[in-house]
Amino acid sequence: MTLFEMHGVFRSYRQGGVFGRVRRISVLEDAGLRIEAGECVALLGPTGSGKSTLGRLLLGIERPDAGSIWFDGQPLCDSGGRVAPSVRRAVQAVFQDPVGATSPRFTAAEVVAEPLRLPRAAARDRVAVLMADVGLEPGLMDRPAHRLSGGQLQRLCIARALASAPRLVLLDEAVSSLDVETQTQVLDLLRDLRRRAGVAYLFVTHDLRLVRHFADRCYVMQDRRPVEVADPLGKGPVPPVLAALRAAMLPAVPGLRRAPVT
Amino acid sequence: MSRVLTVSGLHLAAGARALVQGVSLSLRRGQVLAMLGRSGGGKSLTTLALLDLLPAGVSRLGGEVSLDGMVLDRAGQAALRGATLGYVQQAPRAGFNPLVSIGRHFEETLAREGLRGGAARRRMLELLRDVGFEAPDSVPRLYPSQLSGGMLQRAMIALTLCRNPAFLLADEPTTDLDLVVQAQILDLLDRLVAERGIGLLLVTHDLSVVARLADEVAVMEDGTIVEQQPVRSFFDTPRHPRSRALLAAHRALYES
Repeated sequence: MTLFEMHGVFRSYRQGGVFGRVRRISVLEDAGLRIEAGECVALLGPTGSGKSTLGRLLLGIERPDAGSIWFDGQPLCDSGGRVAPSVRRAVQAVFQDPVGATSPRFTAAEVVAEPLRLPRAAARDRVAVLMADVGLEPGLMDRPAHRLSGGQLQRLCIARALASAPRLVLLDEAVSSLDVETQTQVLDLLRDLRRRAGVAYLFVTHDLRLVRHFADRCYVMQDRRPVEVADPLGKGPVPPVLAALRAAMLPAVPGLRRAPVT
Repeated sequence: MSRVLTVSGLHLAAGARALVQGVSLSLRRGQVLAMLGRSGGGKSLTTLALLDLLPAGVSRLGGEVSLDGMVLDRAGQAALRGATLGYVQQAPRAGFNPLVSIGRHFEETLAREGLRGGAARRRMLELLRDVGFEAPDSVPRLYPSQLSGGMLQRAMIALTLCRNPAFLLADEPTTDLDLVVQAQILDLLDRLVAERGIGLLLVTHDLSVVARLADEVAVMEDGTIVEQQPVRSFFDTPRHPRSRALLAAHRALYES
């Protein structure tokens, strides 16, 4: 069953004004995307290609200039641009920078408890379960959030995103700033959570290497719209943007010595 | 021109907590030494200690920095900073004054080399072209907010090159950039090492960056260097369990 769908979406931003000429920068043009229930869909593209704008439309924190966005067979926003509370709970996000996404004044437990709206004691039990799910020890609960390491904090953000039992989670460069071992651990964790809870992911990234073992289907941002690619690393023809991303992939092992001085 | 920058027996601590213990490294001209390790392992602090720019609260308990065998005191280190030792940090935006145009940044730095007016402008445009700006004339009047992350990082490298440093310390220079821009910056650094004979200390946690650029690898863990090897033999036969774990995670990314 189709969980999320967008058709013919246009989105542009104003630039300039006050002192300069107002220009409109078009970010998305006739964009379409589909996510099935429980599916992991990757969205690839370089910086500034509109990946995050698409993510913000998916969360309903921005509205398209034109086009339609559907969640679970219903329009995502009502005529006034509001997202129904049940849908808000069902669509969650994890962003690239966990430090910016958490309050320095909260303890780890408070970060996860915030979306729960439960009495204190009940919330604490639920938080302990959620933290255990993402592999964080209960001993960390009362630690100030910003005293956790980057990897621990990102897991905490994942626990918070899962607190409201979502059906779709936007992972916007969620593992890009982690070191390679932590990255592997977090991806394993996300894969495992998906199997257990049946959540669908939109995995936004510029790192082609991460897509291979993680995503079921893959889109690439080409000319301001997502284009589906069957096999991003295969031999077949690929959109120019993807070819550029592939060409920029670094070698796995040291190659020949650097070119001599010219 | 100086040939070797050495730090030996470096001990850093914050209060009673030891952060870096007995780190020794040599950086040679025309060579790339990669410092690898997880976040919080002391990589950045070691880099900052070379520049004598340790953050407040961190003190140096022992160790010395020397250039071509001459031990440097604090004044000596201060004299090297910027002139012989260039520094490129992870977030270029934090290194620019948002209220001042890119051109002004260059004017100030070039004035330290005694270049002003037309000569300074020519040198600035030459450096901007060197780091890959195809139309350098348009760059000086822009403000940092008008440049993308990759352009800013290149402008930062150009700014560092104003004083013709013998060594460049680059702390995660490409971590915040996307793959295409990362490839451009690494190509640029590679060219600087080959053409200008710069000695590059490359701090990173990404083994593919190491594979692309490094001659030698030092792995840091909990404030000590646990392994140091030439890059080829490091990838073939890592000795320390930490290195093996890093390489295993790295290889898994490339397996199909």
